[in-house]
Amino acid sequence: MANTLPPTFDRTGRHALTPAVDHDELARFNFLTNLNVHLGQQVSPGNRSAYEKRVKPAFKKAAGRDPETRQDLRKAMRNDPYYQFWAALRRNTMEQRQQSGRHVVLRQLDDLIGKAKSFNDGKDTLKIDGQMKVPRYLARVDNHCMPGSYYTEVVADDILAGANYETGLFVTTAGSMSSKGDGGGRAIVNFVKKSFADFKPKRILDLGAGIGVNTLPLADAFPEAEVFAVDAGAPMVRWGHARAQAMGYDNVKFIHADGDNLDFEHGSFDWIQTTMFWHETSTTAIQSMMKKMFDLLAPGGLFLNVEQPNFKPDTPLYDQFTRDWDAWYNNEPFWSKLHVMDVFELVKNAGFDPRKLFDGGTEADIEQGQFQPWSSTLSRHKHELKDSGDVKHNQYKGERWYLYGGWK
Amino acid sequence: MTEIDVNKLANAKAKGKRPYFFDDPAVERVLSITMAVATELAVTRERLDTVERLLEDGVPVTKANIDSYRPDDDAAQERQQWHADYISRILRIVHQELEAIENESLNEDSEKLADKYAAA
Amino acid sequence: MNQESKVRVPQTAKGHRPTFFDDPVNDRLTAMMMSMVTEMWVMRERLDSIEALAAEKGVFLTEELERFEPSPERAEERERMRQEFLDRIFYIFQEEAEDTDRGDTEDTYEEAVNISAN
Repeated sequence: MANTLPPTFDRTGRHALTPAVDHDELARFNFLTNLNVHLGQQVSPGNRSAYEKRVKPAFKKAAGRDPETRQDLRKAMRNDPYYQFWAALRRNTMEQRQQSGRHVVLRQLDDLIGKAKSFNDGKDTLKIDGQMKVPRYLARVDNHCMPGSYYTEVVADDILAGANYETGLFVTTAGSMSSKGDGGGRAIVNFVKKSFADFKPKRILDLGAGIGVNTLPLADAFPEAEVFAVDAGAPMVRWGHARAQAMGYDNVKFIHADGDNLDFEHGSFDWIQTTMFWHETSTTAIQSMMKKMFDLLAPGGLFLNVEQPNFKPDTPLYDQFTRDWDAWYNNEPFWSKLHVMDVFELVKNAGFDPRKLFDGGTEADIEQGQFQPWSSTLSRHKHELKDSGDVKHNQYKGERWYLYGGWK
Repeated sequence: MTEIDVNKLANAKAKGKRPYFFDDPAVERVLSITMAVATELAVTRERLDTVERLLEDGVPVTKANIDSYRPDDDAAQERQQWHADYISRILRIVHQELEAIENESLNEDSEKLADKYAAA
Repeated sequence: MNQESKVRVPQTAKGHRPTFFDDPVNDRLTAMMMSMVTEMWVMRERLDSIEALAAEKGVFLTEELERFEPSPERAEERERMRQEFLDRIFYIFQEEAEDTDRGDTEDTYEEAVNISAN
């Protein structure tokens, strides 16, 4: 029998900067992880029953037609008591996760800043832009309900956002991203190595890299390459750099910059990667950044993006609604629009040759042991993608990732 | 030493209006408090489990020993199973409702049934 | 056995579950509260068993527990723990106050969704 329980929090990977957690903080993460899983596996599927059995018939009775758009559906579901309860529980679980992670970091903030500084000070692999203006798309709401988002600095040399992000990643994904949280990055590497065996990039840019959890596997895969992790949040970049250094990576540079205003030379990268980043931008921002990325790529260079698959004409309305949920209620406002955008058109408009575009899927690469066997039961993406028909989910062991890209 | 209000900052809200899913916001508040209590209860239960395991192993029950306790694979499995079972118990009502939605035959109103039987 | 094929054991006795409040959400909240009351008592009784066993083995006695006075350091630590506990339980009120301070409403959120679409 497959293990359907998530691993305990103490099984997560540690490094020299890992915040200390006392007994009850650890237990709180364990509980919230289990709650997250329970809501995803046991409670969330009931929303579909509520929809089919009473929301849809009620809508039809009132409107004289079936719901036609995901907006119809979202508004109709807002009146259903079962859905209301699930939604309030889910929102509350995320808030508790933020509260717990932030408290752990804040109570030892001075100590963690000191440790980060010991890895950061005097290193030419870290660049912080003290003058950078926060991009408009980040400033409107705090993405995925993370108070202060990626960029807010509470004190000098702040690392709160980065440290909290890393600490809570386990709870949100219930360990399905491996003990170091890098299952996505390793999945990308597997895809690239398998699909483009001769590809040997010398300079790699990961844009919107956050603390670089998914950047480090790229550096592992191409140890000779110069790797750049760029993010608009200074606390993320500081923490990411210190973390990478503590884990022994010296070929990864962390740059604090607006993706729309990058100080790199034209044609200077062989590979530009974006991972689960687009949905936290906006239409104008991503159009503009895509053009920049095309400009920064060398001829023959690779662009690759990992995101949730977009809706297709035959994506059932109910699936559209569940996959849109985070846009409305988990502070990911752009996701709703991105789901219906023609992303290939966007990539083509940036300058890519339509004949050199591709898409595909790859499975999160997670190590064996505690983290391996159970994660196909993960809450968040399972309920969103299971029945969508976009990706096969019957056999997958970890997260299934959709990716697309092109060659310059 | 930087002076910060740890608890206030930890509780800070993400910018962007918090959605209220119930018609009455008081329900949202009560549910939020209830779930926070549920968390604390689970945390205390896990702590008690740790105390028991330390006692069983003859390890002094000090704060340091409690904080540094790490369950072996079997203990970790047992503790996670407890959380899973506990959550099922406190959310039982939600599952009951789901069963009622999915299976109308389970959901006949007793008073109406009584009338039906009386008439039969 | 995977999750999909797992048999879901019915939790409901056949027959409509009556709701007693005007708004059935209060029935749900009450049911959750009652489950937690049960859990609380189970835990309390478990602690009592630990005390009994501890006394039996000469570790400590319940009477000693009753007489126990925390050291000033421990008392201070408890006060801190209590404060943090209450902050966690009642966090939603701070959230509401922050929304009000910022003037955030459902409309401003919808605006954010629409703006990001541009």
